[in-house]
Amino acid sequence: MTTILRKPASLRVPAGVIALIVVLALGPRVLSTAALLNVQDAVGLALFACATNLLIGYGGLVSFGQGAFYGIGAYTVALAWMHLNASFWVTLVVAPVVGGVAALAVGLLALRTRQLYFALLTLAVSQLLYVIVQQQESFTGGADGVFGPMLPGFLLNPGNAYWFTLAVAAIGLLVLWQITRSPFGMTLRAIRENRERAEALGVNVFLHQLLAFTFSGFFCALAGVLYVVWGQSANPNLFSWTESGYPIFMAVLGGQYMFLGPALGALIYEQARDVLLASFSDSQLVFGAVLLVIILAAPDGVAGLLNRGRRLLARRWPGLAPATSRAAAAARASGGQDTKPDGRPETAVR
Amino acid sequence: MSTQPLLEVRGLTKAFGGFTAVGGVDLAVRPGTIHSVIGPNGAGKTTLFRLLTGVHRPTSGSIRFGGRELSGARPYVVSRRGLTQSFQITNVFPKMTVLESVQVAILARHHRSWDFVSARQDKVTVEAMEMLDEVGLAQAMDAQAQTLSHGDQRVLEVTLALATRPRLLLLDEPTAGMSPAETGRMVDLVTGLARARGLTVVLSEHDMDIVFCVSDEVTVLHRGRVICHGSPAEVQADPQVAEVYLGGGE
Repeated sequence: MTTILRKPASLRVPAGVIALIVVLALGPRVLSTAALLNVQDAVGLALFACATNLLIGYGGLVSFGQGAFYGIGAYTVALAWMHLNASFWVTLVVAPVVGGVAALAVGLLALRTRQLYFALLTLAVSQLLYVIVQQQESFTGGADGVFGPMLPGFLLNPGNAYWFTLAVAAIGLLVLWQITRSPFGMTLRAIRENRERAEALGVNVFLHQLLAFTFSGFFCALAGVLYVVWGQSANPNLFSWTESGYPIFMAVLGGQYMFLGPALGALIYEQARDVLLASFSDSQLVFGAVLLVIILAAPDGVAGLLNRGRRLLARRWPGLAPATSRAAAAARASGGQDTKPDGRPETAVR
Repeated sequence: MSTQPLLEVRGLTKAFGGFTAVGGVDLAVRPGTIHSVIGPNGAGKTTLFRLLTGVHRPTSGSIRFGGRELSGARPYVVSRRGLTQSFQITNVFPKMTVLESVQVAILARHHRSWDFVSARQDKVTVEAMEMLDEVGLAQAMDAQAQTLSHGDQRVLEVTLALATRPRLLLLDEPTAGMSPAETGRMVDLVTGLARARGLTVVLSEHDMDIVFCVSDEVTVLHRGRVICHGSPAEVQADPQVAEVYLGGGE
């Protein structure tokens, strides 16, 4: 074989992402407290949405019950404080583990089914928790939820709470990103694309999906902890089906086939919601219409639209094109099927 | 014949309700040979293959592979033991690149599909690129599988199966829907690889010219049963085969 050199994938984070984090980190210096809380909420939801998208976008597993793990994360912090007077810093670490273990248990059951049945089973589990949390008043605080000084003094300062949320979400997203581009993430995508074929190649499909479900539960619970940092409370609505619907909406809005698509969806959703709530009496109706338009006109979401725009610009300035589409275009241009051993395009070197 | 068969099927039966798709099939495939299974539509070839790969559980009978019982094992276990199938319909990962697709197969073989920590996969990448070089898909490696021509998708399909380094490759109609030129390329690829690697191949194929040209042995199925078995010349000379299959108005 002649030499085909390819730079191995490294942990290099794209410059645009670093720039975004820097801009977001400036928040407390430039934003009002209300606006700051709004962005903080969006950052936490971005983690929730990307953790959910590990299942939807990468695994092809549409779960309508990720609110269960979001709620478990928040309630682990709140109940440990209420009953055990546990420190927030301890529960910050424990809550995602509880979420992961819960997801493992739910996954063992739900992943025995496929598609719609899987979606309905996950929905049923989250609704079950919703009812239990509401009814066990003496233990969970019932429909009112749990309120109180459960956060350490450090996080009562709005700027600190914001930076803390940004840092935890950034670390969580970095780990999730790493998972998606690892051999495991690649295999997960192969299962999404063609489950039967993956299995015929020797992949244990069930265990891969179970692991993905567990990871997702872990990071959804971590996002639930960030909810407590934002709301200083926990309430049963975190378990509800509407809460489970938000990350799916954000993933579809932002784009489920790009890693940060759902995070983009979360930022857009948070900003748009306030505008819509102020201008329309029935904002849900508007969201429904927006969702419909996106699914029909831009199935890859806003991130997909941005990429399409980039490709259009790349016709003028080729340097802007994403590397994969360059290679694909080259493969098509050179005829595709008749491979000449010496005619390897330079795009093979990346 | 002194050599122990690599694959030995005895009395294999699969009934769906009252319908017996495969009834008491015996099959012995010697290592390093190309063994064709032919028969008219509905003869039970596809069901036989699904039994071999673990997609269906046999109603009765045994499948011994490399001296171990294989019947009842799940598909991914069958693949890991070294019996891998290439599919009749084009069965690739549409939205993954050609290189990624082959990497997935190699990762599964190395038991590295679980690795969620590392992003560097130099060895796997190099191995995948070498394979693509060998089959003539190297220049399309960054293209999405769904953008390849039909012939190239079929080649990729076979490459995926080969990337698991099987001891026995089940090829279900590898040239279905191909142009004559593509068919020639596929036949050269399969026979070349089988010889070079000492691979054992079980082939199902409609095109009788290909079957009689490449096979060492041929087994003829009709209505779920073996009606004839032997060398290509023996099978061609068998009057029963001519009646139900070759001559019999299909």
